[in-house]
Amino acid sequence: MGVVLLAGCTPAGKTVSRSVIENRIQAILEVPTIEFVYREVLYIGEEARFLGIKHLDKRLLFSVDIILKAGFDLSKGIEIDRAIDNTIRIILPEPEILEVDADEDSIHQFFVKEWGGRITRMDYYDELNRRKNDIKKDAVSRGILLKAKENGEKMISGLLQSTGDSKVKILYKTGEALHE
Amino acid sequence: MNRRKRKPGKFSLFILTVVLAGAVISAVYILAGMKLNFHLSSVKKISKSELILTGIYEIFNISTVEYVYKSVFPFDFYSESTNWYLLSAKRNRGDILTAEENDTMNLYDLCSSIGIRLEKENYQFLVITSIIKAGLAVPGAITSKDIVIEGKNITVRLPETEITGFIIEDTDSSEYTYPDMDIDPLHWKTISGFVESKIIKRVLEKGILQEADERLKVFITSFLKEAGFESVEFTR
Repeated sequence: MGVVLLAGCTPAGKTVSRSVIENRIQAILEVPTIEFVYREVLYIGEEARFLGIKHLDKRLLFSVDIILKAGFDLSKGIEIDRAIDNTIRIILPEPEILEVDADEDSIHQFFVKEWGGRITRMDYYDELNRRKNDIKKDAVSRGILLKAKENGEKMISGLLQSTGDSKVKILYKTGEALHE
Repeated sequence: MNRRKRKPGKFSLFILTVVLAGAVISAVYILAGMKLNFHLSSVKKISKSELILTGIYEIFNISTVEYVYKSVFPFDFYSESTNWYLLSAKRNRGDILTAEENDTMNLYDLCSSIGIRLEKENYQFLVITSIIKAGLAVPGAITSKDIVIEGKNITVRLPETEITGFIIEDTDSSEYTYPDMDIDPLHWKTISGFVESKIIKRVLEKGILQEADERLKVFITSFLKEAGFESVEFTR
């Protein structure tokens, strides 16, 4: 592969306008900045006895892939200003989980036992929906939002550095409060 | 009408000398630059390439995909079509087992040692959670030789994506939502060792590296298009 010495596109050192920066940041943050794939295992089990005699034993074990994507919902607003020392200050909404999707093609059933009753489709969907909420919490505890933020900052920083703006300060807006 | 010839003044001679000297120095400077391959006029352009490189480097540091992969022991680790009686008989006869058959019988023995009889109807299982990360293992590996810019077209040579992290998580009883199994630490250690390489193989088969690669390309393409390039291509 050849050596790079040819032309770039945006002249280095030229001040880029606020609206151009805003459009560029909106474009690069349009895609979720992090993706977690869960291969989740769901178990439905119900057992009942009457006078010591088992009359119900339902068990279902299956796995399903659940995909979580996190990033920035820029419809909540993005603000950009340039300070006198040429530092670009960018105010973004907090990162959030943007999508939680179960890939039903990935379902794999390990076993099913229906003795004294059946496991219905509703049992399965109820369990899946309940698990989606648990997974959201789990992903947050594993730092998905922190990673979404770090990745977003790296992308913005990379973009602005490529156009010669090295001084960037990114803040996040929670309600009316701003923080790093 | 008499025309008087004007002699050039001292000041005019000085200006002429300065201009000629300037022209000679410029010519020598440019010729020397061409011969010695100086890139006298490309300082700004090199700088731009380096800026692009810095931007891509930042994106190379992005962690793209993480799998939280739950495996079900023993069900995930043998084929549903396994005939345990035939396989056991083959081993008992002293026939040579294939590597795969041998591995399956190791699982059979491991399960027997914790009270799971695979040849019978079994509803006992263990859920093992592992975390697998994929991306670029050496993010700083990109150099100016890995990108070629021609006008508004850019070609980036991407390193191969790799598994960058793998751990089997310790089981936390407050978060384990499945029926419990009575297993001592030694057997748990044996099971962890048995499943480790198989889990990595499974996530590779599921395409974790391709997914990491695709996401990386999406990020870099988006970044480079916003940096002003019209066409972005990738090579290996």
